[in-house]
Amino acid sequence: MFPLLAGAPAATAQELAHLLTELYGGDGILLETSTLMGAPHAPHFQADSLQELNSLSNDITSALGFFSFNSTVSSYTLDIERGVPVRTTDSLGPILSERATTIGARRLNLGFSYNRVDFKRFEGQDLDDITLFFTHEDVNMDGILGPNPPDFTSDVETDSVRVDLDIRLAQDIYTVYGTFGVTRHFDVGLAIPILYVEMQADAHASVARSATDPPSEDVHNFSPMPMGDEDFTDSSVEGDAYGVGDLLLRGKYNFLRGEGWIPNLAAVGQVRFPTGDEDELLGTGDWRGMGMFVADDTFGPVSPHLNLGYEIVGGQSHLNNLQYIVGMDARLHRRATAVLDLLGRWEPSGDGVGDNLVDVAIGGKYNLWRALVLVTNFIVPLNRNEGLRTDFIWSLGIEYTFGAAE
Amino acid sequence: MARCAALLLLVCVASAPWSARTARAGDVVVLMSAGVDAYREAQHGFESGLRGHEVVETLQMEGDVDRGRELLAKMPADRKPDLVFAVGVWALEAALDGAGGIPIVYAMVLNPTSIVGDRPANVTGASMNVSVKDNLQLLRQLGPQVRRVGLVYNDAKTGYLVKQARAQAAGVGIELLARNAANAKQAIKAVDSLLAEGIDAFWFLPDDTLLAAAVSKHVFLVSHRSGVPILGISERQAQMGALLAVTFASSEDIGRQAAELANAILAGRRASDVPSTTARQTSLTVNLKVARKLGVEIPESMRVAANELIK
Repeated sequence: MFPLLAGAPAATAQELAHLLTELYGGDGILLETSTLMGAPHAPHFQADSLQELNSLSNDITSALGFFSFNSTVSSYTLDIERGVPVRTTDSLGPILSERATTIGARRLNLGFSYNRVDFKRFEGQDLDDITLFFTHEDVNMDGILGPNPPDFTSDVETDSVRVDLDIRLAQDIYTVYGTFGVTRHFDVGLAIPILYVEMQADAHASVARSATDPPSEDVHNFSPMPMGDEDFTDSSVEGDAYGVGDLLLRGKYNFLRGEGWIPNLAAVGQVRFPTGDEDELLGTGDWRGMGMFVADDTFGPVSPHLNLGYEIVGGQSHLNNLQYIVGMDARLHRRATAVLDLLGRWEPSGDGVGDNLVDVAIGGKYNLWRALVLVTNFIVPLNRNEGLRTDFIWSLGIEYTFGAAE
Repeated sequence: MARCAALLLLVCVASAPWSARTARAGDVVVLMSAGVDAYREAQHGFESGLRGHEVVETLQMEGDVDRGRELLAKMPADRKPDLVFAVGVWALEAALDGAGGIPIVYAMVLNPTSIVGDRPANVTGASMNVSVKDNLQLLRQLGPQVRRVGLVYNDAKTGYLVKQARAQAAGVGIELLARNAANAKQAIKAVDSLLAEGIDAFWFLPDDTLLAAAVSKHVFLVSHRSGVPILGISERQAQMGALLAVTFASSEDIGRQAAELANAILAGRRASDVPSTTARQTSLTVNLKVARKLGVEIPESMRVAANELIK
């Protein structure tokens, strides 16, 4: 039972994934026991409020996004007819997508990137303005929420509890990644994300009154004494966590180096290990494997690319998803490249939450010195009413390729 | 905590590779034209074939000849290497200007004679050319109907190859009809005149003048119309319609060839006394579709020897 008016002090939960259910002490919203028709009337919103908060918590946490695996660049190939090196592409390559060409035998690319992900919307609702209505239980179990004369004349079941939620959820993702060219056409990569996740939720609960028999104020109150419009209760929770996220291991085989109208083609196999603590929102908790087809080509300074992959999620087939990226990178200057991508993720058998996410990404790469490249990128959701979304995600990274231009 | 750890790792990653070693006397410095897989394979072959000496430093030119010259100029006078291994044409150009008398062994250079020219003879190397002899032998294997072979060349680029070809052609029963062309326009005219004169095959030399898009397209178009088979210089040309194409097969082996030359120089021989080489491992592509269209019978021995058959 919460103190009237003063609001509950902020609570810190042990696990971020269950933080929202810790609102109001973790037992759902409780009202004062009152008297109805001469008998004690218990707070009949508890079960629904617990269920709703838990559902919201699960939906939000399962919709958390993933870090990007920056692509590496192979600058030159040999024109054997003329005997001179030529740039495989005049650009520094894509950022979020893969290119078909591999890094090259015995070359190593190491990089570090930082992403800030500040979630703003969930299924079309602003996270700082989510309203939940917890309905009254069907106390006489007649299947009707409301009076059912002549046996039950009271309309007390028509009251509900309104909760206004302000949720702040953000991730700082630091990713160290590397790619090594095992052979000329095959390379392997590893990405290790280190995450800092912070979450805070403020709730303001009040009774949405419609009962008149008996008057709502007589039966549903947060305080022992009727307080009218001043009758509400607040609660806050907050928490943070940091640690290693889900490790990603990737292999790419460039099976066709295109010439003329034939594009470069590659197959990518990727495994994501559930090394991040799911309960602390550091990982997904699932093994994920993905096969991906990659194609790219170069037309002057512009290199269009296509990634098409299917991800299988261990034990949760409804999360299996098709991922696609269509875009291009274009050389602006000898040292600068601009990148534009359309990114999509579609769960054919999804649960209705974030099943079809479409983003556009705009980024750039700048060759600072030798093989040192600065990478920056902005991702903007195109369908902001699907799933858990940000206004935008920005990232900044740096990478260096050893074996080519050290 | 996580932020600090990540930043610390970034600093380590960024600073690790920047401690370059300085060349020691008696050793080899590699000058690399650009970050090309084939060049790295050549370097690998070179290092695996080097005996009693080691590569102490690899200088990366990043495609910039001036940078190559600067890197060589920065080598301390008292710590010069015994040999510069120049990988690729740009490295050879830079080394010719900047090696300052140090013997140069090159690898993966096409038409090196056109680059080295009349400079002091402290240079030798393993080119990526396929030898004139191998090309002539391939034409010979097509049968006695291939007797008159036409070619177009730019004397400044591949004139030395034509001299070699002229010297060897008669020995294998081939009559060579060669036309010098200084530019694309002249090259197109030369091709037309050869076909008008009557040739049994066209030998495509690795010459920039001939490789200009307009000339190259013209060669394939008019040769095909005239029913003249082409001996090309790359698998791509075979896909474009050349009957045969021969090119080097292994960058690594070219590196090993260069190492053999370097071993001889480091053992005391003068570079001028160590003859340069052409690719000893070659790759042959035969376009059987073109053979059928032209009515050319490809000998079984050639089919077996081919690395790639386009059916």
